[in-house]
Amino acid sequence: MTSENFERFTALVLSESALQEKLRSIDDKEAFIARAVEVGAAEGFDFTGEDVEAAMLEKKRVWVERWI
Amino acid sequence: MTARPENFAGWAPFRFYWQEETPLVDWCYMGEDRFTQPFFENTIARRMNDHFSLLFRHQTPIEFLETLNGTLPNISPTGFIFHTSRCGSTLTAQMLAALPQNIVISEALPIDAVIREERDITIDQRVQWLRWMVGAFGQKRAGEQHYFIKFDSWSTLWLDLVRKAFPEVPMVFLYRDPVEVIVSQMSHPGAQMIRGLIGQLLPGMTLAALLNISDEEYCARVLARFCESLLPLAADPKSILVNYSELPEAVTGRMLKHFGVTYSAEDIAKMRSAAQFNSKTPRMSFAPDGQQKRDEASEIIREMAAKWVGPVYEKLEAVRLEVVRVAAKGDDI
Repeated sequence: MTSENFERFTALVLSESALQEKLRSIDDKEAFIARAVEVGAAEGFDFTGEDVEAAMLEKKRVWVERWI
Repeated sequence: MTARPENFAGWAPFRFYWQEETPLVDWCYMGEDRFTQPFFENTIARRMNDHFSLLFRHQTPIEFLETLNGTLPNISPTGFIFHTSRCGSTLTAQMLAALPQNIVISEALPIDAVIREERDITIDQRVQWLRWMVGAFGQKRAGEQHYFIKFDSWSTLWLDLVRKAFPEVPMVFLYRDPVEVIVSQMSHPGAQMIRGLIGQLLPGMTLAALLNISDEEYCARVLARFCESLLPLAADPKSILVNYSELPEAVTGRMLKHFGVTYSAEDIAKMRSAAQFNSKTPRMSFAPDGQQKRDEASEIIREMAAKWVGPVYEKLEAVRLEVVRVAAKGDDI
């Protein structure tokens, strides 16, 4: 998965409330990642759970840096 | 993709910044979370533990906020709280936030960023951005009825801007005996105590001069500036002065009356219950500590407080006590 591919998936989710609903309110991390892969596949995006986790780690890093 | 307002229901701004020449806003999905933590960044940090909120964030130009405010239901501000630091403002905000019908935004970074924007933008543009940003935080998510904003202490220096943007919103000015404030700041310095971090809070002084005065003097002089900025509006009927010494009773008393809101006895009890807890560290109990701080004060703190803040503090007290006296006389009639 390229970062551009996942960014396109992210942009699609942000533009569709219905897709957001499918990914919200999932407390368990593994369940969230699995759902993201499932939703991505249904929309024609090919990425793995490891890709999602890597994106989450990156977002966390950026978040910490901006708030320091 | 063009942002659509309907996709922003339940989202709140959490960052205002520039990407080259474009002012942008980052958004965080709030879910059912209210801003109930002592400070804005505490609530946002908690949201970052939510997987969806961490991974998915809207980013929009600031102009989008105007579109959003005209589309999604939101509440106009009910009241503003300004303060000079360490004077019960967090306690006040926590008491108001105890009620689910209240939106309470405490020292929000995007609001502060817009107020203190250093790029060369016109006053009218600044007013517009502030209205948009305040409007974005007033989004109704669960039937809320009232909306309060507690500003950062240094925002008192931009009171004119806020008043220009919101000429009719009732304001509360919280302040405290300067000895007590300085003792607190020396123990746990706030951001405004780091010279230069919040811009130049003592204009006209060089960096060398700032570094040459003691921390106690720097604190006293900054505190004096905050207090002096309250004076012009102190007697304005849309503003009231409240001293820390009147808390927590003044929150459910004079403040609510000034804001024009009435709550049930049950809601008042909830607010008073929130006052039992230390507002910044809710696991600890709250107790007024004015006497303790005055007892702890060093000679230099007393000297600097008297020299730099004493005169303006006495003026604020004179205005406050006269208003309280007149109000009490009115209640007796």
